[in-house]
Amino acid sequence: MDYQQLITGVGTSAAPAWTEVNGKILLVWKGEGTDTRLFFTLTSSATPAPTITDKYSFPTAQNLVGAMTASANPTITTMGNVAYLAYCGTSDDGICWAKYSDGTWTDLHRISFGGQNHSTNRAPSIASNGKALFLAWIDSDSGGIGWATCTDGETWGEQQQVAAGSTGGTPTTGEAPAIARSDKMSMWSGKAGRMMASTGPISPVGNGRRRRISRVGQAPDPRWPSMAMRCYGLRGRAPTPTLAFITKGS
Amino acid sequence: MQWSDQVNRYFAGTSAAPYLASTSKGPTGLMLVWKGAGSDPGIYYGPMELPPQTLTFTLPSFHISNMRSGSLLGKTESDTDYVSFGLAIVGQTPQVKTLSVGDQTGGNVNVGLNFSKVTVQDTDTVILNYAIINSSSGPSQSAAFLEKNGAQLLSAAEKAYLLALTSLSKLPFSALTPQEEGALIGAQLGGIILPGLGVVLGAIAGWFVDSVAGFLWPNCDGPVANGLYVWSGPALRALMVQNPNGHVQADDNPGVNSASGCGSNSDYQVTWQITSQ
Repeated sequence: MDYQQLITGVGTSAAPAWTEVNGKILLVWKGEGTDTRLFFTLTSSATPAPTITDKYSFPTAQNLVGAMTASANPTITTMGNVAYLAYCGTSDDGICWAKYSDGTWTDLHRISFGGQNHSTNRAPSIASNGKALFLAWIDSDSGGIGWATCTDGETWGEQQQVAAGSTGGTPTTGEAPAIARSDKMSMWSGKAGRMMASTGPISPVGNGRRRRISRVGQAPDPRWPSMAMRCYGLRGRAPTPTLAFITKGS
Repeated sequence: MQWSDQVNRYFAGTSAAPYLASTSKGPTGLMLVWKGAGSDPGIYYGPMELPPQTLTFTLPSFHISNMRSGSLLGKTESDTDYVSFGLAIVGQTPQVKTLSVGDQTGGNVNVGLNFSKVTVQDTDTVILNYAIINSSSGPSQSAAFLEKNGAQLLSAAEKAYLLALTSLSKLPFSALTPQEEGALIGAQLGGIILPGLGVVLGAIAGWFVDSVAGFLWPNCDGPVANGLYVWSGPALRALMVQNPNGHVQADDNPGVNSASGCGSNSDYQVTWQITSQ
């Protein structure tokens, strides 16, 4: 069965990440063990394989993402023809980013959120709806889930906090949050012994519109969520938020 | 927004976070990439949602260790056996097939009933039922009884499944009919019914014989085998992963009491199997 494919010639001790840019799959990952360097590889074919179980064609060579280093797994998304990488820097837990365009990486260094620096001790999560970038992370200062947006690919807005939902209680997470974004909905999830997800308008929170926070699944000890929009970008299919996570014993 | 039940993504294991991405590949666009399990540093990828399974459910044969029919002289008579084999996917119309296998005195009996190339999605719930009766009511009446009874039991099991689901999600559910309640209580379906149930002959015998009004059980007539199984789509996938050449199971069906003078209780072993394609 071809339900899993091994990408030969690469390895990591953290979670890899990938995105589709210009019809190619761009894969990024942190090095193994104490190796904090970031690597990438890109499929050679501009056309994705035609069936669900066919292979992508990854080259065997791995390449360095400039001189960038990360203390945790990277995260990546695409807006337009540009891929945006976000990661937790190694020196001061700063949230850093970079962009990949026309075969070249550009180090954009530590993100300034409306002139302010913020830190995280876990991997951030980045997503896009094609019109803006959305970033979520654990705020080292408050322990809450911070988020921010960037509409021009250059300047990030001020940090916001994921607000309390209609059931009350400010969302917190002990692990990296997940984020996905469609035209109408944003969401995060985290772990507090169980997987929770927050949905609702990304901004403003108010005007009587409250986020809804609900439990996802009944799995014992769910961990490490990742979120994406099902069918996002496919003609005639409404995007549906979908969550992947691991469970105890899996 | 209501989240669906979680679905186990088979053929993937990791010791780090999985990464989900929307791509233009596959029917849903969702692809997953992950680090290998444990110390495996390999990077793997695949579709998050696996293609539906194509499965064939078969009841090839049964074995009679001890007939139901008998007399004061011992097991000198014969059982006139009718077999039903039913399959339901929750939300779809149940199917029940029947077969008359004639007079039997013991040993192996070929059946061969099957549901071929059934498409099962990971979001499906599949209910399987078999029943064998010893009946002197004739082929048409016996087959009609089994078809009606099988459909009722599958329907009751489906409602029990939905009941369990809605009970978990705290949503309102429609009440069961008294007859369905009898089936559920008899088959001990009232709680969380997954995974499968197994042989339920003893549990539902009372409901079984009364389920179709007007059907008579003279002399040594009566049920001799009944099995009921419920699987989620991923549970079936796991079963196929564990048994790549097919899952074959032989159920022992210790009989229930028969009329005075019929002798010891029957004992039938029913073999059923599930294979890919």
